[in-house]
Amino acid sequence: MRFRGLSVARWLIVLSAMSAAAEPTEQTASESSLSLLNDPVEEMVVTGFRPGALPAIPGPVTHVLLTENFVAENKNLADLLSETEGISVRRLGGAGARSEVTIRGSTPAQVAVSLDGVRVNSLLTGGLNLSRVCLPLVDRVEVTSGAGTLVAGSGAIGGVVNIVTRAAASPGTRVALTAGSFETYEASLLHSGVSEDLDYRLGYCGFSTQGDFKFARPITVIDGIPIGFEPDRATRVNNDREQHAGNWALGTKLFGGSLRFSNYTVYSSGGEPGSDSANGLTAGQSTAARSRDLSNLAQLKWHRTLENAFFNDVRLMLYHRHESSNFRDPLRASPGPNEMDTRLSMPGLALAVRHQATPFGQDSQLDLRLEAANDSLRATNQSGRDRPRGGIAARQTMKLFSERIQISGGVRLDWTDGFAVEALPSIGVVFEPRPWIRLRGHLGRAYRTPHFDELFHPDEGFIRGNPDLDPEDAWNFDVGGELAFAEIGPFSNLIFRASWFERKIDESIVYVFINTATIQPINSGKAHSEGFEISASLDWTRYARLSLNYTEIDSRRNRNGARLPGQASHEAFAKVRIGPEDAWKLVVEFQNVGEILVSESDRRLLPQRNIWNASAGLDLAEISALGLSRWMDDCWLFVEGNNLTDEAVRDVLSFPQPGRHFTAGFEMHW
Amino acid sequence: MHKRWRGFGEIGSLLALIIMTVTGSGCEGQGTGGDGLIIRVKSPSLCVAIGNPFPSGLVLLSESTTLAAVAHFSPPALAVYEYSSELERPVQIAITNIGVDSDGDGVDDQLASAPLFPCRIFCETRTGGVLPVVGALNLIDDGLAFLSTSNYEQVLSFDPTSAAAMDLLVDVPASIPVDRYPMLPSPGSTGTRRGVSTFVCVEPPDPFDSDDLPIEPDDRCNPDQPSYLTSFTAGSTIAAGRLFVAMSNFVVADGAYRPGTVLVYDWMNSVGQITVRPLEDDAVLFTSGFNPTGLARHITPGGRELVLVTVTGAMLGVSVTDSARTEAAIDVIDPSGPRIVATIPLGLAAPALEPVEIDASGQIGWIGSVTSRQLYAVDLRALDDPNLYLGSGPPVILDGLTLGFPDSRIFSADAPLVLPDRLDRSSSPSCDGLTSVATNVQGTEAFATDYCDGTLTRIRFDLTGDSAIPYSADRFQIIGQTTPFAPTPSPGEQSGPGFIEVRPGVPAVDYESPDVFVLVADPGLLCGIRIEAL
Repeated sequence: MRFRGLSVARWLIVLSAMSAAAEPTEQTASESSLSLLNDPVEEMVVTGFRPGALPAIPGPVTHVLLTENFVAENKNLADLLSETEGISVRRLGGAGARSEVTIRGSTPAQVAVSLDGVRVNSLLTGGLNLSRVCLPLVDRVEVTSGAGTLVAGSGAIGGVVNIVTRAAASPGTRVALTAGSFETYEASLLHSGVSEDLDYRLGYCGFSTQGDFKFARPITVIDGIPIGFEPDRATRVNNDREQHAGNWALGTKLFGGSLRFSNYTVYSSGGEPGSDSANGLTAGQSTAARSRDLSNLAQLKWHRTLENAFFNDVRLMLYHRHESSNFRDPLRASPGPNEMDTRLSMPGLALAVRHQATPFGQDSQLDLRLEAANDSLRATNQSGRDRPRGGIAARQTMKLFSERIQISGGVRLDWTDGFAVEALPSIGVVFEPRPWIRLRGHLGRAYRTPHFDELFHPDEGFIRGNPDLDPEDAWNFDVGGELAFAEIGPFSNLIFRASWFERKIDESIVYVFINTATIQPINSGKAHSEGFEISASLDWTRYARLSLNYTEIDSRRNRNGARLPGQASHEAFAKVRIGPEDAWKLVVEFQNVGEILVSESDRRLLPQRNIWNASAGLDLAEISALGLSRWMDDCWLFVEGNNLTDEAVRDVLSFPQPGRHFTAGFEMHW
Repeated sequence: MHKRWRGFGEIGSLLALIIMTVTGSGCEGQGTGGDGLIIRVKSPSLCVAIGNPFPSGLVLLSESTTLAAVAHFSPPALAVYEYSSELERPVQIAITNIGVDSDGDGVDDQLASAPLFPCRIFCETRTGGVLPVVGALNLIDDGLAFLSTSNYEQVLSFDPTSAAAMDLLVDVPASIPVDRYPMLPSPGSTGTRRGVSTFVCVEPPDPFDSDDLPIEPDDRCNPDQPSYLTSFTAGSTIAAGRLFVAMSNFVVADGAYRPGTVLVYDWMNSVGQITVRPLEDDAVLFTSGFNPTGLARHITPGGRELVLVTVTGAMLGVSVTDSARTEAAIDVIDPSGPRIVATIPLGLAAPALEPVEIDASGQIGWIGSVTSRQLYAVDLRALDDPNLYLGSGPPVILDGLTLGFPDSRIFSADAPLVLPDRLDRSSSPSCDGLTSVATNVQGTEAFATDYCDGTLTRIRFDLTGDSAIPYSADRFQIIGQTTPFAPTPSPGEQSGPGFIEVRPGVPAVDYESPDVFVLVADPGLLCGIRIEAL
């Protein structure tokens, strides 16, 4: 439907009619509003008000990010997450450099990240380096903001990010190649197919970058007098990286259910330039430090649905995760070994069963989950450690009044060797009186046991662990609502979301200077975070789509009201896509990030910034003259420019990110 | 299904864009758009933010200037602050980065030092060399301050009123061996510099380090004898027309200390032209123990000019809160010799890495501790004994066991002046004490900060009337304590008071408050504190 020739006055009447509608129905607003007008304009076609339907979201998940929505935009996992309200990404450099996710003001270690349901946070440092995840191998990312402890257990204070790889059951082949600034090249190939009872998937993804970009150095201004480093520009050196990731999966039927084995491997090798913190040609960067790491996740899953048993659904998962890394710096100036080898492993199992019933005509669902794993550390610079852990969780879900009200509550008992059993209660309510409106609230307890480095990092003079640490503990509370409209005026597919959240932190862990020379993690007591996040997205004809979101967070220590470091006070994101999307598209993105307090107790603030990105893509398969559609579904050529206004960007003071840079490439699918 | 595209124009445009992207590396930016990366710093009331944690030195100029200078760690710089009573807090008025050619020899420091520290790996694209790291700040007078840098070892000369670097004429006598001062002008020549290199090749008489391991020959110095290049430039001062520089000689890689040294240079100031010249003989003094750090010029009540050296002894590990491994002392240098004439042993004291704080009467020398909430003090009256300066024998040990000489120790490791617990009973869970001390101009009170518990303690001492050496401990009384800072660590709060300086002049006569200035490590502040509040 289209509109034309509608005056402003008539629009106001239309809008009044819309707001006056107590019970929106399938009747369009144009019809009802036109009835108020005695003098309808001939040929006028008014796009009105038509409720839509909110997408179904599984369980407590708050966002589902489909990678298909970002085709030909050259995104990585960090990009996807940073475009979502309530989620921040902290990047320590350009391509291949460490990046970490935080949710609603949490730390990276306070976000439980899993790959196909298996925790992949570093056992050593807590967070996950997002750059080790290859997006072409990923189907979607499920984000649970401020909840998720019943499934994840320890570590889900900020929330849960579950990365779901592409399913083997959807046959096809995907190929992508890109080349960009700083001699960065990336390639991926994914093939999946089905053969009788067997389905399979095979994927590869890799990149290499020379990585040495130029950057502007920070200038500190006190009492109006600036001071900076000399020279005021420098080049990121020793910043090359090569990375290869591969996954494969096999699935078949077994014992009346489905059995699936999958394996995901990532190898990465490159320089570790460290921080820029000195004068001179190299700006104090490490010119010789190198690292190599290899991680592998193997998992075997069996799933069966039973019709007449008490437990209608049974899922069993066995997995083994391995990480090994080597770091060496022959020119290391600080105390400590010049070379370190670390091996981490995590074998584990999880059993989940579900009982579904309909007492009194209402849907009832009981989920039980049992998990056990062993975290193991072997390293050349410290003693070996083994840390068994486990958890048992029960969740009862009631869907009342034709699923208009959904109440879910449960508790998880989580245990980690060396710490007391932690009870993690959680309750959530979803009220969906109509398909186009959804209200939700959640209250839950979350905690995080300290990771290996926090507890046992060897004393190297300037840094050491603290074996006396207590776990982090917090209560999360949030309420929010979502609205979906099929049409409002000329706009269609409108979705609005808003949430208010609060986190009361009873205990947290921070790294601080404990004397003039040594950094150590300590328990830092009570703190709280609160804020809100809003988002909106809409289409304007099929040639334009607009997405907006805004998040505001205020996190402070209870004792002194001091602001917590490392997080922006607000983030705003806007994205405009022009074009029919399945043929060509022009995308412009804008991101505004507020000031970031550099560190605990610090008085320094990283500046607010505005970043502009743009990309253009064309699906050659849609050009009939080329005839490509005979062989393939998509063949996108694209070019992308990032940080177009060449802002000086840093999420962490001494770790610069690239200025303006470009990438071009193609993606094919058949 | 929408209508398929039929034209090639769009493809051509996009391909052109792609080709431009792939080949157009010149389009890459340097992050110089917008306002650049301007770091804002918020100063709390009564303090000025330094801009980075752990500033490494504080000096107050004379009463007439109401200026203070602070050594900045990163960027490496010297900053000047105005603290007049009319201002709510000190205000930064000038700051100077020491630059990439800090010594002004015309060559980038890293490149200049590459022959001494050659590249060992990835040398196709990397250079060797080292960069200066800012350390101690020492005030000579209102017109001259020395900023020590380690790594690239030197003392830099600055005008402390403007933070402007000062030129020196460095003159190296022809008789000095070529390799002895590798970063000074070659022997027999002069050069204009902004500092004096403290890279010196030395051959220790007792060639063992603090771990009792033998010192190997250093090819850069003498491949046939135990030798090493001096390192970790610490305090400096000028006395009797000579520049003295303490060298810790700590070896990070080994966690051990080589024998401590004090370097001596002639210092000549003639009509605004300063000339520095290394001594041809006795240019290096080996201290009585490991790790000489602070140097203090001292004029005895009898008018004798001396240099007091804080010798901390070796400490376990690199963390200052670790325990002492070898004995500490205060060495006394007769600058005219130059010669170490006496040493006052302090025991396993681990004293602060600072110059001895000398009271206005010149009778008491104070020093803090890096391991405990305590102070040490020595009676300096013994240094007027002319017998100390006779002959050329080993230093006289002023511990009461040397015949004819007194015990100069008032408070030492065996009997320290212990500061009281913090009034609110809170304490640092991570360190036991790290104290710094300063005295007032009347010579009646000392003020001590403790980095660990955040306290400021006031001590009154009475030196009236005749007394044998040393003064008895009961002349020293703790009369007050306040808690201007939080114990370390206290995330989100100001903690870690370190260097303390008492404002020149008489309170309430020459100025209104604040009375003392304290350099706070975390988050890096210069704070004025009113003593009446104690």
